[in-house]
Amino acid sequence: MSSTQKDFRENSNFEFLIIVAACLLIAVALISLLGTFPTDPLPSEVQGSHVANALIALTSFSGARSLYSSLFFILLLGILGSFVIYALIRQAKLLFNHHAPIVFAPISNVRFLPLGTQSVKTRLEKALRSFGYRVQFFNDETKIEGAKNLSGRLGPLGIHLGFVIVLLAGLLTFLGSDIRETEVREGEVLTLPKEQIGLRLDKFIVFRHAGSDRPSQYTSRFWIKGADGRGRHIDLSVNHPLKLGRTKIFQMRYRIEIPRAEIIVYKNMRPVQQVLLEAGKPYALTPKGQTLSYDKIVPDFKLTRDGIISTGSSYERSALRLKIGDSKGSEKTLWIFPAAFGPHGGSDKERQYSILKLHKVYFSGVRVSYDPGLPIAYSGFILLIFSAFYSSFAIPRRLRLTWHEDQRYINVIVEGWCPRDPSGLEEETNRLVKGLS
Amino acid sequence: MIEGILQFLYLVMAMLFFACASGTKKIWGRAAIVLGIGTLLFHFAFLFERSVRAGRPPLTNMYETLHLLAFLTSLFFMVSRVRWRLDMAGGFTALVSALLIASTAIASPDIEPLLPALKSNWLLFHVSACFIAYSSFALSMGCGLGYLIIRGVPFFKARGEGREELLRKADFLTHRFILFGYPFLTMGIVLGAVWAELSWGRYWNWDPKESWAFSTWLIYSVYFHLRYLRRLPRMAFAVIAVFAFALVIFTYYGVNFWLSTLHDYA
Repeated sequence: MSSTQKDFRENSNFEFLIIVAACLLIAVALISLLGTFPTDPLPSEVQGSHVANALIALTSFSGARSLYSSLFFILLLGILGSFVIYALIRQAKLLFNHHAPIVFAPISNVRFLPLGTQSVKTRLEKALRSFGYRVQFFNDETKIEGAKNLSGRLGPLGIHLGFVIVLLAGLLTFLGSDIRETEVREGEVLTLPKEQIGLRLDKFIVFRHAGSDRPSQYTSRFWIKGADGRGRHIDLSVNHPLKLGRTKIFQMRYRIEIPRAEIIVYKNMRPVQQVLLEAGKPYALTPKGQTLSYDKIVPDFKLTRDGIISTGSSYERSALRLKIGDSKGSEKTLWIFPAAFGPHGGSDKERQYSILKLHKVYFSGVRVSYDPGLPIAYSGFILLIFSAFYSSFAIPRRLRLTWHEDQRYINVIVEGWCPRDPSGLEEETNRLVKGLS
Repeated sequence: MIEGILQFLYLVMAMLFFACASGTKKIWGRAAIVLGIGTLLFHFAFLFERSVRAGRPPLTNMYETLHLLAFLTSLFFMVSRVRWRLDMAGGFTALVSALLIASTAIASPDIEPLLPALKSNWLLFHVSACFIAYSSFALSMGCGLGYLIIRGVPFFKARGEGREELLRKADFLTHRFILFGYPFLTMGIVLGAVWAELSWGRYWNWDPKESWAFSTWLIYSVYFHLRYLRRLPRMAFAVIAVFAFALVIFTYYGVNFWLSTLHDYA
């Protein structure tokens, strides 16, 4: 087989591989998007619901969010990963094979008049050097070659390798991780099975922005016994996970329950009794035989035309729905508010009520995670970032300038090699040619 | 009020660049540059003042990021124009900026205190990397559209440059801006994964925002692979650049409105 036939075959093979790679990438991209569509059909009264529902029906085979853990998707990623490994080996072979042929493509021709003292070779060399090329000379006195950023060939190699590492890390995470969410009540112990230790949630603290009800940070203050047997407090906050051995704990959310409420009972607008109500338990009021209980609390309430609505979850300013039962068995409900708003009695002229204090119990929502894939993923991430930058900003290029002189002019043939950025090479060559001619 | 002024300025800038691209009078080009610099200075002053007032860079909600994207897109074009002139792309990018500013109408301009999840040093790096990438892709889309229009108009000419020369330049710039944006998109996604690991306990959650960003990254990777195919016409790359930017816009904007995502606050 002649070398031209071999080159042609190599090139066709390479182009075929590129097309397969592009098809695989498009398939993964589109199937990843399918998983983001909602699965529940929209009600028919919603505008455009028929189009949306048709789309949902079309994509339902993918199983939406569960698609990403399906065997089908994992296999698809596996095929992509295997193909990337193949490409990686091929690239590495080419990179380290110093005898691999470099196919230069003609870019342009230039003619210029010879200069008095400067030789053609010197002039072309200067031109190449001004564009950052390292110049190589040949025995043949009518040819020079320039090359730059040849180390940039490592960029795509790094991206492929980084991507494979991240895919492997993903597989390891999928197979070997143990990630679970749990809720810890103040006073309860969170047990970490992998570390054989327990953390007691002593206090949950919500920090708020100055002059606002909006939380600025949530912190779970745990009590932990150290290896030396001495106890200490450690804080877990959003964006600041705790690492204990191989396990990490993350602060995710919180919830408040009100198991008890203290209310003040007034008579003719004068406080007469302080009552501690427990959720779900009626309290017998003396001496009339009335019972008090509550069934709803609206945190951070706001009075609107539609009734009482909640505007937050801080419980700093709450409304409580009080149930007042009498000895005959009838029951009425009444909204009461914090003492600062004054006693509230509704239609009951004799007795009024207000909230003195709500006993809050915090439940801290935490995620406990053991992920063996994490260090591998991070190595892949680092490689991906550096390689992506290197690949984009160090593009390898080669230029070959061949010249011959006729009676008056010097004719230069410019050929180049830059498979990754032919338009960039063309742009650069145009500037080089302009400078020469 | 500010949005109205900025929208008007960007629209006039777009018209001037289009006039400059299709006409032969130098005055349009000069007017476009002067107006462009003035608009960018005004926009920068607005962003700076808001950052000082909020005590943080303008990266934390939809209103701020729409402004930032509009600003960066036009800024990148003006900077790149110093070296490479393709005024039609300038017209499209100024138009994109005007549309982005118009879109702030649906976002709240109030400066709200930061949510605990957003109080992280990763915010600056993750969001700014993503927006540098998005701005660069907006420019590549502008160049791609420029390519398609020049290709579609048989006798298109500009000052001192022939049609073929313009097509070559549009193709080159499309590629150049994608080359510039791609590593920043990679960095944005990766830093987002690192932050997600610190905040949510998993570096990849297949959240719609993540899935769309990943797909966008894959489509730009496809673009780079196809560049190796010499037989593929240049028009194909212009089409991919425009299509991929549509994906970018959905990733940034659409996902928050139409899909349920952990990035709701963004």
